[in-house]
Amino acid sequence: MKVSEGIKEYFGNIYESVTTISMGMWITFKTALFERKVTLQYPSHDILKGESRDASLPKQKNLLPPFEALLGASQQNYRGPLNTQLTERYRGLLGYDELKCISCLLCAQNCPIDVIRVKGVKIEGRKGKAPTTFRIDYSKCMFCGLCVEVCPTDAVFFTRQFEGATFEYRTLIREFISPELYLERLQLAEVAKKKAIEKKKKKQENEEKEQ
Amino acid sequence: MENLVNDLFGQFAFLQKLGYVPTAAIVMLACGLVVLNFFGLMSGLFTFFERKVAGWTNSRRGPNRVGPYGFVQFMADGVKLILKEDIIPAAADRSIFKFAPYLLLLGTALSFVVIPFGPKWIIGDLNVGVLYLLATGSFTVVGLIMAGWASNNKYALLGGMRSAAQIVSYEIPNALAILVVVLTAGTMSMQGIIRAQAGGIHHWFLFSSPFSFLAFFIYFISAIAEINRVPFDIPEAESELVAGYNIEYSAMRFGVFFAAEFGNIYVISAVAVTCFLGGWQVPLLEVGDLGPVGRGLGIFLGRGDVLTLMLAVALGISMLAWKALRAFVWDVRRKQAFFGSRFVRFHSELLVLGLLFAGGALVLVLHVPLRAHLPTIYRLIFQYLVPFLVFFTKAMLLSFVVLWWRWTLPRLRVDQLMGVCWKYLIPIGFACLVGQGFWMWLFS
Repeated sequence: MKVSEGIKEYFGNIYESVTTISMGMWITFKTALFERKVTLQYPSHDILKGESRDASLPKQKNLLPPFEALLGASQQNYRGPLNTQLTERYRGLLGYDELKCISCLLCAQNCPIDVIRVKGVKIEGRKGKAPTTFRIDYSKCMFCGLCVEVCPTDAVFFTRQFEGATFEYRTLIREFISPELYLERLQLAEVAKKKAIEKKKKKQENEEKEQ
Repeated sequence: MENLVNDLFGQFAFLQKLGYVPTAAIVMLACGLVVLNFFGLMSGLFTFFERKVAGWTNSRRGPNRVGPYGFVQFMADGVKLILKEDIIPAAADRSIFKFAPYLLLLGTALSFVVIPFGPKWIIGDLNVGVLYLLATGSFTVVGLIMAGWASNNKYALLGGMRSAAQIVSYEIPNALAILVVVLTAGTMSMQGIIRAQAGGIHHWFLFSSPFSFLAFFIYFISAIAEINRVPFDIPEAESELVAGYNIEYSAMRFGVFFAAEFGNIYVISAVAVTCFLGGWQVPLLEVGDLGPVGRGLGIFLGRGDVLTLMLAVALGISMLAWKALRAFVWDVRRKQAFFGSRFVRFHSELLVLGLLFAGGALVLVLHVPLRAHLPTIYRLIFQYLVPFLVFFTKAMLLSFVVLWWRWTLPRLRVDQLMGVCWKYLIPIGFACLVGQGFWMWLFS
């Protein structure tokens, strides 16, 4: 290597390092001070605006330090309640529509860990059986989705609710049929039973008459 | 320090009753307390600051849960570190293992002795201040090697050896760059170097000649290498050495390593500010014999009420302007948020403004009984507070650059590291030294 080439390389190295370092530093400077932050401050954001939160779950306290709330810093980058930003097939906590259920017990039978417990009675004016008990134990559920797949009427489905944390184990066992409805159903079922027996009797009488 | 002791001894009668030696001892103890606490606070704040900067450069937010804007995070971290179990490996050299982090800390804490905070605020204005700084800086290498050796761990030992090679090499360009400053200022005392830069921004050694301009960069690069920060952090290269010399350390001993490292950031920026950026000097407003603007401001010094009111108004206006800038320029999507819908947001500005005006009013009321002492108070403010804030701001800006480097640049290889030092920094440093000599011969 000639001496002139060596000198060229030496100063070229200095030039290159200065320019590349300043370019890199400009990029990080821009990012640090002018770019929008991507952090989603999950609990605080959702709480400040989250109208769509499930009202049946206990409300969480505002976790923000008061100073930050005062300056409104937490409201930056708000992209709507978190529930609306989940993917289409998100597997949240299991939901249940009592009106659609026919108490066919498919979900309970398909559940690999006996999370679901269903009981139903026959009442008037309703297809299939009407549920008197529908209980899901969220502490056991592993969100496999077998119950959802198998349900013929889409009564069991995945919600977008994902905040299942509680302080006590038993609060994770959720009854979807209220005690009042349960009693009402039982009464209706008895009525239906009586009617059915009467129907049977009438049928028998009719048959006897015919004979 | 001697001046301070003499001042206090001359002023207060009860100290004369106590005697000179006890007074000196008390003052020394107080100074030590102040310095150590300042050092602890600075290193704590830098851990927070670094995490914030790291977050920003990654488009994140950084810590923001503990205290306002996560400001108290470092205290939480400290409490956690103190409460954790301190594990010492069975095969370690116990006494050296225990002592090493404190030696590192000692080196950093001793540097704070000669760092000035204002024309009259310095623990010891040694006539060999800069030399002393270079000497205390070498404590680091001893501490690191001790930590690496005593851990009885091959990675720790490798880290220690690397740090020795690195720090010893980089001390040469560091000293060369400072030598340029000493040559120009004609003194090694920190205050003397700052006083030599009086008279405006073009007298700062950064801008006074092309050679000292280069020397600044040589100093800055080699100082960053000397405190083992990225991009020169090969002693603790995670990808190669797991954690380097501190691999076996846990709990507060580990924390002490980091306290020393983060304290060092302030030390090197403070030395750079002292040597190249005019220290506590403000351009146009020289403290001491107040410059042109200072003399103009002097008219207001007697009128404390006007000054305070103006200060309050200016602060309020600048705060509103800042918020407006954020709302309109940086964050266009929330244009309406500034004026209408976000009541809380707008309210906060009013609140701050109200507090400012309340403070101004308080000063207005207070200044009536204090009228006789006002010139003294403002003299004190201009002699102590303003220089300190100026120095501190400059040092913090430089520290931001150090943190900024860390989150921008990748780590150098060992051979590249040595190449930078021996092939580039040292020859250029020598050239600067000679060039500065010629420059001074030509222009003075």
